[in-house]
Amino acid sequence: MIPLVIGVTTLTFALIHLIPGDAVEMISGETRQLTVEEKERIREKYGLNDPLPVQYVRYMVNLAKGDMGISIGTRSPVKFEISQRLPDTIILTITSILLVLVISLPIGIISALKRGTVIDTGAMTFALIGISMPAFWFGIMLMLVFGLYLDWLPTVGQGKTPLEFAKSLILPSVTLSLILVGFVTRIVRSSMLEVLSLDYVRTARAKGLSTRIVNARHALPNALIPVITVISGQFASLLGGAVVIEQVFGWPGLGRLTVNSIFRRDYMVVTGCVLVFAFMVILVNLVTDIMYTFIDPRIRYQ
Amino acid sequence: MKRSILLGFILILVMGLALAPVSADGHCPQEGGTFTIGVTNILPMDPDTAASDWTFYIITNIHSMLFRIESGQPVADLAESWDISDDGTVYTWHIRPGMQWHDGNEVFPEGESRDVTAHDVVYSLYRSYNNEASTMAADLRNIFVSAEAVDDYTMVLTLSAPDSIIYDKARGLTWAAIVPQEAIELYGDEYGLNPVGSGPFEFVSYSPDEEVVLRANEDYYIEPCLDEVIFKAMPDVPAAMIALEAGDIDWWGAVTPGDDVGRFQENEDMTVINFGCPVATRLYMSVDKPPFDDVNFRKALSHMMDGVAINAALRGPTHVKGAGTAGPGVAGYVEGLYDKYHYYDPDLAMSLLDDLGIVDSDGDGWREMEAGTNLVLPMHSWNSDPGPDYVAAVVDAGAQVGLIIEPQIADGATNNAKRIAGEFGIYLGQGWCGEGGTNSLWGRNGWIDSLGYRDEEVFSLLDLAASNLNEEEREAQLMAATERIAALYWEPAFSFFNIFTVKNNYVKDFFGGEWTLNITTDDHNVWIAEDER
Amino acid sequence: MAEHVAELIPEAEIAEKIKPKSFTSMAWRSLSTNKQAILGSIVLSILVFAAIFAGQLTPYEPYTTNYSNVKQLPSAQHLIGTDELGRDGFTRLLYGTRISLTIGVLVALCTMSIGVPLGAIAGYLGGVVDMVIMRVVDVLMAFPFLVLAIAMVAVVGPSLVNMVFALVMVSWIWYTRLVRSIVLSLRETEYIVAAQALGASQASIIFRHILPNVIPVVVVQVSFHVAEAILIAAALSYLGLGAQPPTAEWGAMLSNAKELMRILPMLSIAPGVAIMITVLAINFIGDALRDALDPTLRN
Repeated sequence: MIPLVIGVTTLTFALIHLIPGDAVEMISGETRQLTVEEKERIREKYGLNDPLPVQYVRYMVNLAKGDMGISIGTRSPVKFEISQRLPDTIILTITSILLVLVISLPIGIISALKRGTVIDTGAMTFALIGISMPAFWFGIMLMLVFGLYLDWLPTVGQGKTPLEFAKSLILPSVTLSLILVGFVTRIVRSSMLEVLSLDYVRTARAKGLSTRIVNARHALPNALIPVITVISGQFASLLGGAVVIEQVFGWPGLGRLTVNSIFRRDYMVVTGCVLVFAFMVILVNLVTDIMYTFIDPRIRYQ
Repeated sequence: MKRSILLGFILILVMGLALAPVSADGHCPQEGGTFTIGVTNILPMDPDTAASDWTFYIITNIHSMLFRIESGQPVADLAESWDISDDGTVYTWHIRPGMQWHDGNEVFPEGESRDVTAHDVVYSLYRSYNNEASTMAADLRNIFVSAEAVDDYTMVLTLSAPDSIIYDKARGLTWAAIVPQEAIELYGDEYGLNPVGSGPFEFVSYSPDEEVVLRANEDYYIEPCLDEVIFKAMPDVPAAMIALEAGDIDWWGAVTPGDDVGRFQENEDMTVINFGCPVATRLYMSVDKPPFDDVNFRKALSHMMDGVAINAALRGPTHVKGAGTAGPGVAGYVEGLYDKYHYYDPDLAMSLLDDLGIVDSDGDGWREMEAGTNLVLPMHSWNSDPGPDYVAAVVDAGAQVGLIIEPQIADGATNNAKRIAGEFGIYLGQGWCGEGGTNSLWGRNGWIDSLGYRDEEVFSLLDLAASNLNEEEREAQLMAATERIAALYWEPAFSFFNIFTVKNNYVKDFFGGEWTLNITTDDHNVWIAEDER
Repeated sequence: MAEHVAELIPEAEIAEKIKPKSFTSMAWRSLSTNKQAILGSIVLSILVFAAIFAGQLTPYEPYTTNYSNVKQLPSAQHLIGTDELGRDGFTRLLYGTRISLTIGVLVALCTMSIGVPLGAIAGYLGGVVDMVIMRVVDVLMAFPFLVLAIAMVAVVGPSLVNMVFALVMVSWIWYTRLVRSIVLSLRETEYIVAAQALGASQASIIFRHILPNVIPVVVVQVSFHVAEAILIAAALSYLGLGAQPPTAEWGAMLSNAKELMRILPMLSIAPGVAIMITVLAINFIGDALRDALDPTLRN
C-alpha cells in the first residue's frame, strides 16, 4: 500500500513537471501581462525555482503531514479545491454503478435463463452495441433529445435543490453507466450460465426445488461474485470515463478539475487529484475483497 | 411581435404593481428572484489580479467603481460627480456619502461596517499602481502622478499629461474597483476568494469552476430588485447555448457563436445584445524571426487566404468586413484596410514567395527556404471553437500556395510558454477592440512586444494620441497608427466579428455588454418577470 | 475502458482451457460458421475498402475548403451535408475510416509488442525482475486510465502520433498482466516441468510450449484492443488532445460538429455511428475469436 502511494505520487509529480510551461505563465494571461519580476516573486513564493528533487521532498513531507499544498491558479488550498469536487464525483460514480446493476442484472439473468432465444440474442446484441458506442457521443445525443427537443432535463451543470440536483444527475449518470452496462450484462449472463450448469444447482433442481427458487437462492448469489469482481476492476475505468463525461455535462467533479488543472499546469492540484483517484481505486479494491467474504463463505483471510 | 411584447410588458407591469409588494420607493415592478448568468470561466475576484473579462462582471457588482460606463458614457457610481481641470490633468472626484462596506463577514461583523471614504479610493488606486501586475493599463500608469484625499469625500487625481481615453471601457480606471484595506490585510493573496465591497451585491460563496453566488446589498443607496445573482462557469459553449434556450441561465454574458446568434434573433423569447465593439481574429507572427521578419513574406501570408470568406463562413451573422487594430465604431478605425492590404490574391502571394526565393525546387508541391527541406510554419492556436476551424482554413490556404503549415493547438499555458520561449511562428489570436486596447496591445511594452513587434513611429503616434484632448487630431493620430500597423503587415486579419450576448426576455430593465454589466445603477435596476419564465 | 480487454478473459482459467494444436482446426470451423464473425468481417472489409479507396469513392477533397458551400443540409451531392468550411462531411467520414483504423491497429500492435515480452519475462524469470515489473504495473493500475493518458498527452503535446505513444505507454500493462498469468500457470504444468527435466533448452520451452499457448489469447486481446483504442482515440481527439485540425478524424469531427448540432445534426450523428459500427464489427470478430479459442463458452 505505502510503496504504491509513493509510486503513484512520484509518477504524477514527474509527469506534471515534464509538461512544458508552468502555472505562473498561465496566471499571466493574454489581456494582461505579468512582469518578469512579478513572475519571479510568485515562483519564489511557491518554491517553483527550487530544484525538482527539493520540491518533491518538500511535497512528500507536507503530504505526510496532511498538507496537499496551495493551488497556484486560484490561490486556495488544494484540500479545499478537492473537497469541493470529490462528493460530486462520488455521487456520479455511485449512481452510475447502481444504474448499471439495475439495468444489467435483470437483462443478464433473463438472457441466461432464456438462452438461445430471440430475447437472448437481442439483449446480447444490445449489450455489444453499448460497449461499442463512444460514451461522450451518447451523452451529446441524450443532451440533444432530453435537454433540447423534449426539454425534460437540464443539459448542463448541477441543480441546487434536491429535486433539481436529482434531475441534473440523470443524464451524466446514464451516460457514464453506458461504459459498463453492456459489459456487465455480458458478464452476468455468462456467469449465470456457468453457475446453472454446476452440479449443485442441478442437484437442487433434481431434489424437486422449483426452478424459481433454485435460480434465486442458489444460482444468483454465486453468479454475482464475478459481477462484483468486474465492477470493482472497472471502477478505475469508470472514474476515467467520468473525466470525459464531467467535461461534456459541465459536472463540477474531480475529473473536470484534473483536466482543467493539467491545462493550467496547477501542479499541486493535479498531484492531489490523481492521488485521490488512486486512493479511491485502492479503497474500492479493498472493499471488494471484504465483500467477497460476506457473499462467498469459502473465502476467508488467513 | 414587438407590439405583443410591449403589450405583455405593460400587462405584467400592471400585474406586478397590483400583486407584488411594492418596495419602499416603488421602483421595482416585481421584487425578488434570482438572476442566473452564464459565462465561460470564473477566476478569483481580486480586481487587481483577475485577468478575465467575465470575472469583472462579478467584481464590478460586488465593488463600487468611481464611475461606470453605459452606452460608452461615464455615469456616476461611488463618485457622485467630478471636475476636470482645463488642461485635463487634475480630476477632482466627489465621493457619494453614506456608502457602506458590506457587513456580516469576517472583516466587518453584522452592523459594524463603516463608510467608504476618499481614503479608501486612494488606497485602492495605489494598491493597483504599486502592483506592477495589476489591471491598471500601462499607458495610464505612465501618466499617473498622485492620488490624494482632500477630505473624507473628496479625492484628487493628478496626471502628468491629459488622458484622452480615461473613460475607455477597457482601461485601468474603469476597472478600478474600490476595496477595503482591512480585507486586503486580513486575506492577503486570498482576497479574491473573499471579496468585500460596497457595491449593490454582496459576495456569498464561490465554488471554483462552478459558480459564484451574490445576494442583494440592502444597505445600498439604491435597493436592488433582485434577491440573488448567480454566475455559472460554462466552458462548453454549445451546452451553454442549450441551457440558455431551456431557461437554465437567464443571460449568456460571453461570446455567442454566429449560428446561435442567427437563431436567437428569430426567437421571440430572446433578445440579442450587441457589445458594440467588433473584434478581429488575426494572425500574430514572430516578426523578429525569419521568414516572418520580411514584410513581403507577411504580405504573402496575408494575400494567400480569403479572410473575408473565412470569417463570414465561421462567424455567420456576426461577421463584419474590415481589417485593422481598431474595429468599426472605435476611435482610430480606418475603413477599407482589408481591400487595400489584406485582400485575397493567391497569385500575388505565390509571386511574392517566388521573389523571396521560397520556391518548390524539388517539385514535390511544397516550397523550400533552404534546399532539401520543405519550409514548415508552426501555427499555434487556442483550443476552443472556432480556433480549430480558422486553423483548418489557414492550413488549406497554405496548401494552395505550396506552404506547409503545421497546427499546434494547445491550451493557454502551453501557448504562453512557447510565446515567451520565442517558439511561436504564427499565432492565431483574437484582437482587442478598444482604444486602450490599441495602446496596451500595440504600444510600447504591450502584449505583442514579446513577438518582436516594434516600431517607433507607431509608438509615438499612440503616445501623442493618448494625451491629445483635441478629438479631431487624436482621431487622425490613431488612424495613422492603425494604417501604419496594417502597412507593415503586422497582422494578417480575417475581418471582424461582433460580440453578441443573449438574454431571455423575462429579464427586464437590463443593461449589459461592452465588457460591463450594470445590474443596479441610477438608470437600471434589473428585475425578473417570474410569470414569463 | 482498456481494462475490458484483460477482464474478458478470466486469467486463472486461461491455461486450463487452452490446449495447443488440438483444436486449431476446430477453432477455424467455429469461426467460419459464426454468423457474427461473418457479419463483422464483411463490415470490416467494407470499412477497409473505404479507407483504402476513399479518394476514389468521393469527388471531393477532405481538406479543401469551399466558402461558397458551407453548412449545406444533407442532399444527393452531400450525403450528410457540409461543415462550416464547406468541406463535404461524407468525404471526411471516409477519410476518417483510414485514420481510425490505422490508430486502432497501430496502438494495439505497439502495445502488444511491449506488453507481451514484459509479461513473458516477468512470468518466466520471476524473482526480482517480476517484482519490479509488477510494481510498475500496480502503480499504473491505480490510475484511472484516461487521466493518465491525458497527462501523458499533455507532456508530449497533442498530436496523432503523440496520442498513439501515450496510449501505448499506459496500456501495455494489460498485456503484461495477462501474459504473465498465463506463463506463470504454464510454468508449473506437468508437460513443461517434464520438458525441463528432459533437458530441453530455455528457447525451446519458450517457443515450443509457452508461445503457442500465449498467441491465441493475445490475438483475442489485440482484437478487442483495436476496438478499444478506436473509442479512446475518439474521446481524446474530442477533448482536443488527439488529431489536430484539419485532420479528418472521427472524434475531432464530433467535437467540431457539436457547434452545429442544431442546424446540422447529421454531422454529429454520423461520426458517432461510424465509430460505433467500426467498433461493433471488430468486437463481433473478437467475440467470435474468443469463442473459437475458448470452447467452454461455446454453445
